[in-house]
Amino acid sequence: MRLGLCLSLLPLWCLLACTDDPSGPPPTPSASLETEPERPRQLQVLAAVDVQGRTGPGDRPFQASRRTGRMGQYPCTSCHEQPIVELSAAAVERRWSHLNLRIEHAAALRCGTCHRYASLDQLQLIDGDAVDFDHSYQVCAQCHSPQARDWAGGAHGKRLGGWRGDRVVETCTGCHDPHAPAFPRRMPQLYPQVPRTGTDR
Amino acid sequence: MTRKFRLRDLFTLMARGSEAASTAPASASGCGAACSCSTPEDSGHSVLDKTVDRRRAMGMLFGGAAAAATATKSAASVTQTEPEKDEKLLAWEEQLKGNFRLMTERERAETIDRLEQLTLIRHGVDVRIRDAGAIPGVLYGYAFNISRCKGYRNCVEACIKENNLDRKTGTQYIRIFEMEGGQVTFEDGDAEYFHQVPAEGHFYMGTQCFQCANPPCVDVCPVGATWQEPDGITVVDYDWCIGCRYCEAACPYWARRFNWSEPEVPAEEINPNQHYLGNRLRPKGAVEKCTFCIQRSRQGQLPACAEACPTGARVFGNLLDPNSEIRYVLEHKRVFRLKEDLGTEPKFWYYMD
Amino acid sequence: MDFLRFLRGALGAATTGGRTYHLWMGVLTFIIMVGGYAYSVQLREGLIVTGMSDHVSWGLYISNFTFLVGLAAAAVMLVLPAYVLKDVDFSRAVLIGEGVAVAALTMCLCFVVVDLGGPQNMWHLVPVLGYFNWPRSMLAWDVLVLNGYLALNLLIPLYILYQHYHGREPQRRKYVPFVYLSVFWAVSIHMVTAFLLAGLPARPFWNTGLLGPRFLASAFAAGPAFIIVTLHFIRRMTTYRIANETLSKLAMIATVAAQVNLIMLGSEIFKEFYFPTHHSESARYLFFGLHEHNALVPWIWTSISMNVLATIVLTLHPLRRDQRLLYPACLLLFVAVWMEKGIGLIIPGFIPSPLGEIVEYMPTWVELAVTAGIWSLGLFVFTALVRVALAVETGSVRHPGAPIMQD
Ligand code: SF4
Ligand code: SF4
Repeated sequence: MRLGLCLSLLPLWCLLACTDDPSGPPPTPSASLETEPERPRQLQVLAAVDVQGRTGPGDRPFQASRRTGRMGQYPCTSCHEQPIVELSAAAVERRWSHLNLRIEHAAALRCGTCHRYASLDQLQLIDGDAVDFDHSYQVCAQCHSPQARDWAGGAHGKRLGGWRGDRVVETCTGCHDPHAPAFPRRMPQLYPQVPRTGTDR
Repeated sequence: MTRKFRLRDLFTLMARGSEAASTAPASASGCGAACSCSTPEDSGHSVLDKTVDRRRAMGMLFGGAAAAATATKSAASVTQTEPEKDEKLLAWEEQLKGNFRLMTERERAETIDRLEQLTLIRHGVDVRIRDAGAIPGVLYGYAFNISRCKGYRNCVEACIKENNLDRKTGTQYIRIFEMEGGQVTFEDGDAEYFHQVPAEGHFYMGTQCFQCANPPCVDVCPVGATWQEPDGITVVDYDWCIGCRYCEAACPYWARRFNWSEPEVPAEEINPNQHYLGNRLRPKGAVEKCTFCIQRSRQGQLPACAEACPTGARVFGNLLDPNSEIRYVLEHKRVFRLKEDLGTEPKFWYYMD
Repeated sequence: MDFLRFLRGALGAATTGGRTYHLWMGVLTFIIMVGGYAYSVQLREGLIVTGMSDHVSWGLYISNFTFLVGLAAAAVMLVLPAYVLKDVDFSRAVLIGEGVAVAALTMCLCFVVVDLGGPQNMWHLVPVLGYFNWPRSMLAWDVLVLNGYLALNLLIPLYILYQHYHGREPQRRKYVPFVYLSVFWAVSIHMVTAFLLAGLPARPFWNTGLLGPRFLASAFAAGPAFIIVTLHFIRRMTTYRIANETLSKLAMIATVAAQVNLIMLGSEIFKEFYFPTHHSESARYLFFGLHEHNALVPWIWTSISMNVLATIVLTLHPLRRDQRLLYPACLLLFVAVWMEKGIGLIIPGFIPSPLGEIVEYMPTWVELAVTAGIWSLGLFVFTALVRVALAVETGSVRHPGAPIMQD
């Protein structure tokens, strides 16, 4: 009885706890009077890491936004105390947990292509090297190398904080849901308006 | 960008000559980006006489009322207790002020002070209006990735809020066109779409003011109310504009908007972080346009549209900095601009992944 | 002192007249007042009460403006032969022509002012007080040439009338240089107005080298046509004698200009439609409609039919010489050119917009009332001027000491 209850609540709990899909770029801070030119307020809340293995234009190092700060229930090991085993594709379909995940990435991918079963707080590359979640762009770049190149240069992705000073860019998963990276179809944004009055056409 | 000879250049030369004769160094800021950057500070003092002259002359024209107004003002009779009288006085002084380009630093400070007070009286909002000049060594450029834009229009919303655009007539600087695949013809594009995006078989192209390096809108203005700043932004002095809308007819990119009626922005939505040449509240009957968010970009921030774009389709930066992202795009991507045949040299490029 | 007396006499002449005269001026005054009220609405609410929009940012006002500049310029067709070639026939009509010019320029300036979003800022245009963007802006040029032309056309007839008032022959040395000047000036006001539009690469419909010559041709058709119609009225209503030969010469001028105008129109139409490009979209909109938008199609075809019909009547000698046909043909020509060069030229320049969007234009009651008011003002000014001129010329207003004129 109690077990049944627990089991039935489990998916719900997972749903609430593991919402680590990206919520888009961090909300624009409302305009403040004292915006500091060099380091806009946004960056003071937004932690960034030095990008490894790549440089921006002019061979300059740059930073990417952190992944971990924006994941709902990180570290993963707070639930997954044990390493997990690979699931078959059918089992992924029938899974009980992480129900919020929409998985629409290349069909050949398994969870273990990117997640490191042996130590779930990390990701891994194809060659087995461990990668920190904050450097997840290295995982993406294995397949999406042209995009990664443009991302480092500035033609792909999104700069954060301002056009001047230290370059900080959004990490891949800041915009793309890693489990379903294509942008969703949705209604366009509505604009603020006031109702029209009599003299208007 | 090499320039061909045009008849207009001759006119420009003549204009420089005549301006140089009458207003000495003030002409430097008047002739656009081609000249060495003159910060507002340098142009100030030397034209002091001219502007004082104007005020005195206007005062004579209107029976000394202007002089009286100035005198009353300096006697510090402006108190917050009589807002209506204050408003009239302030509005009258505003009416007599000069072209922003020719103002001395003190006059600039005074008009900004008046405008801030007027906004407080009229809308009950405490705003801060800057007059920050161009940052030396900066020329702004913009790139738009047409393979990334999904038509979400988050930029439009951000622009409306950031720039205090009129909510009543639904003014928008940015138009996102839903284009049919296989061609780049705006005639077949649709900027009024409202359905799930991205639509099958279509791509999206955003337009706004392209801050042309050779802007036709600037030359045509009969009163010099619009000009190009040294950092390449074409701005409008809203209080100097007479509303003839010649510039609106001259812009090949349909980037200018007119205030057909008194613009309405709900007080609680007014963005208080303003610039004299940017998003301050506009009067009825003046022309306005996108300024690459001059109030933000001159503080090192990205324009609101670039910051709001959820797909990263918008790249903004300094064209003179070889290590900027915009330069990376220009050097590594195939880019194109709209209506290059007109020779307007927009500083806004489209590119694809 | 003498001059004041002259002015008083002129004022007297303008304010006295028969019942028809007073009725006519009264009706005009009423329409002017209605226009004034409409303008006050526009001042209060902003230009939102007009049919204009960011897409079609110039409308009825500027349309009338471009047409009237042409009308003003056409006065030169009478000035040159009359004053310089000493063609007596014309010198009788020339004062009328200059009256037309002054009235047309008054209307032009009014139309520009009512089109402004910030008329309270107009002093920004005054060269030393404000910032006059000359010579870069074509609009600045236009302000300059229009005001200069207005001054010339006020001063030359004023001098001549004043001399006649004293019963003296005006001294050629004193006014002929200004006549020459005003001839060049007349061509320039129309060319500058054409350049104002033709200099915009954003609007391919206007961006053509033929625009200036077309403006001149249509102006020299509509202007004399209008003067012919007025001369007809003056002949019927006053004792002022105007020879038939004057009329037939004027009709000849109107005819040739109308023919040239049609040739140019044809050549424009050929260029737009032999191989239509994206730049021809506006012409397509005007003549055939674009994507179900065809508000101007009936308008332009009416204008063209009237134009062709009038030109045919004028071209065939027997028809033109028949006075019962001449006046309607002239009126037809005048209206046709107004339709073509006003609305038919300005509005399509904005449709489609430079980004291909189609928003149509329809004037509102405010625009119509203001336009009617300004036209009435023009007619008012014209009637008053002509009345004064005729009074001086016929000798009913003259200096007490002046000798009796023979004419
Ligand atoms: S896009 Fe239009 S408004 Fe902007 S600078 Fe160019 S011509 Fe001027
Ligand atoms: S509308 Fe204003 S900015 Fe534009 S040309 Fe006229 S005066 Fe200049």
